[in-house]
Amino acid sequence: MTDLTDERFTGEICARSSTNIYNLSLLGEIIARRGSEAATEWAQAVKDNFARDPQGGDTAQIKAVAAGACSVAIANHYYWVRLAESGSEADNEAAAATELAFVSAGDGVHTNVTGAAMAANAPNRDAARALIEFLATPQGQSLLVTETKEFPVIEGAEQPEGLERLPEFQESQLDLGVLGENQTQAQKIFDRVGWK
Amino acid sequence: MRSTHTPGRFRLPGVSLADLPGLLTGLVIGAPLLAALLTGLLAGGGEAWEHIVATGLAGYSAGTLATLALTSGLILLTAVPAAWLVTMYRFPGRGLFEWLLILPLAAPGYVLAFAYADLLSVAGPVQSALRDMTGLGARDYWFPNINSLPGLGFVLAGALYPYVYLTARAAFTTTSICALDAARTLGARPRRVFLSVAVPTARPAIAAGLALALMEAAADYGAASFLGVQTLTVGLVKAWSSFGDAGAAARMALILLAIALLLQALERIERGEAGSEATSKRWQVIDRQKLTGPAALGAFTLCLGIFAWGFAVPIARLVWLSAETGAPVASIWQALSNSVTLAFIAAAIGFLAGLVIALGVHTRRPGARLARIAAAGGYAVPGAVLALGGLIVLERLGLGLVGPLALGVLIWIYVSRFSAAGAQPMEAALARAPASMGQAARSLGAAPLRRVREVDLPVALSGALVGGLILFVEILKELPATLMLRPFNWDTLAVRAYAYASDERLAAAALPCLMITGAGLVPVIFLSWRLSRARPGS
Repeated sequence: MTDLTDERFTGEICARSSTNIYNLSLLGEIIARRGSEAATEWAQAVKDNFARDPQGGDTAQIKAVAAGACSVAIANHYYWVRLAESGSEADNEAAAATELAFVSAGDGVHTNVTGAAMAANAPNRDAARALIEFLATPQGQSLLVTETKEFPVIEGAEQPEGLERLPEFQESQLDLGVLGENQTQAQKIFDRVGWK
Repeated sequence: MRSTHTPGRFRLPGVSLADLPGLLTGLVIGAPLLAALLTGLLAGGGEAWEHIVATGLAGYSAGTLATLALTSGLILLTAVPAAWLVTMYRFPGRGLFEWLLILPLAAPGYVLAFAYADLLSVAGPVQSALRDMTGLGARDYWFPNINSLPGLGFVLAGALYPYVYLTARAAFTTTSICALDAARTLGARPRRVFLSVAVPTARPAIAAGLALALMEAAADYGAASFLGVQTLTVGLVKAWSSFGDAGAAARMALILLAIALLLQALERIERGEAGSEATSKRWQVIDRQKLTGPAALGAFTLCLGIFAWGFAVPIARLVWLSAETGAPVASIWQALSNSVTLAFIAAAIGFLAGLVIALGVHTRRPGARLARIAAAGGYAVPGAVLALGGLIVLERLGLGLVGPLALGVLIWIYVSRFSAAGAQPMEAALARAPASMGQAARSLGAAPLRRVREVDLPVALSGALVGGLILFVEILKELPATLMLRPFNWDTLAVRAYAYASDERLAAAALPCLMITGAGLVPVIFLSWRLSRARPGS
């Protein structure tokens, strides 16, 4: 991730808007690992390397690289896998024209999660707990990730088709709660450096 | 006010029992907005607000104003001439275009934004074909960027022009043929008849349609955020979702409300200054002149281009995407049924509220004027703000957002948000009716209530169909308030479409998008059929 600030990427980076939770979480991790000053410098340097104003979602970033509008983009793995596994030929070609790399944000690869929580005033607590527990079984995990192409978090859960295309990686061990705590600060930094 | 005097012991100065329906309607419609605004005034001004003022507020405001300016320019340049051409001339396809041009009313702005972002993006079919044909690379040529402010204006104008097309066409249809004949007899060329007689006469109607369209544009969240344009509404949602600061969000709503009131005021001024009373009761069949040669081709091309822009091209793309990859249909039928049920109930209630407002304002009831302001405010601010206001009210009453109550609140917010859309066509119908009708009833000694029942009500109801149908379609398309307030087993089509599109599964989003559009088409086509028979005497 630090390489993205490098001069060789001037005019080469595509990224989505700073209001997006993926970018807020990513910067939240950089703030946690290296402090807000370094995080501001990182955001500023990456923004200065943009090929175009932030626009579109993760899929649009990957397709922009495939079309040659930029050479690097920040995206989650599962959007790339969906393109590779899609029924659309144009999608398959976009995946084939790009390469997915897991890059470290300082200490392991930054990850996003799909989480579940129960509202404190939930009227059917037992049912809610049962649902969440089901989602944490191998069967629940398989159902959840078949379409989304996310990684199951349970050993023994069936992997969705397409994940075998991906390289190995070491994920960051940062407490995910920190990302939420840093979210407001991350948005302010993005706003300050002009990352739309 | 003397003539509306009602005997009674307890009367506030200038307010009577006849104001009760208006006041109640105003209270129901205005409460969510009022709650959000009070929160903005009393609880706002924290750290998040200071940050927004320092970094983005000027940009958001400029973004919204520029979007509105661009959208209205595009709408006026396309919808008004198209309405004039299909009303006054004969050319190939005229009969088809007369109703085809209304169809974008069925498709929400965010649906067009999804489709055009896909079509015109650097990896989309248009640019890919361009590169294949020319052999150029992605960075070797300039191409208009759809993810931009002009892109947003292009999309919103395409989605919203029918508001002006409809009101302009209705006005041209009821324009006194005598006035147009007089202009022609005096030697005015067609262009001059259009610019100097028809457009000025239709100005109040055009302004009313444009005010509706621009309030929609200012409240849009889906298209602007999808295309990455920084508008006040996008900033407002950001203030709320990123900073978790309802007070700051409500403060930005204050600015949006100010813009809305300004639009309202401009429309009022237009109506006040330029409004013309129909003087002749002699309706004549419009004898459409036949266009030939280049003029016919020009009229055909303009109408075809507008139809392709607002409907045919984006919807064809969604059909293609949906067919190419197939789409999950499970739970879609339930969502369709949920959408239709909610829209029908809320439209019926909103219609009654609109009727109370239109009649009350026409008979100059202060209570109804208050309701009208509340409705205009509700129509102008994003649904998310009203939903927030509704939640605040609920919290104050010590109630939770669960079960049937949640559905009730959602319907309440729909009514609060859209009753202005139902009221406006009825108000326009009342404004267009010859003032002499009411005056005649009055000089014949009809009591105020009887005048309302026997003169104003039938006139208002001539605009009722348009009002009711617009309400239904608007509610069907509504997204942010539905997202916030619906109970979990009450997903609507809009919620499904949004969920898929925001998860970047456009092919899966295409089907619910098409269903929203399809459901919207039914009332829109009916409306169009009715309107084509609307000219009295023809």
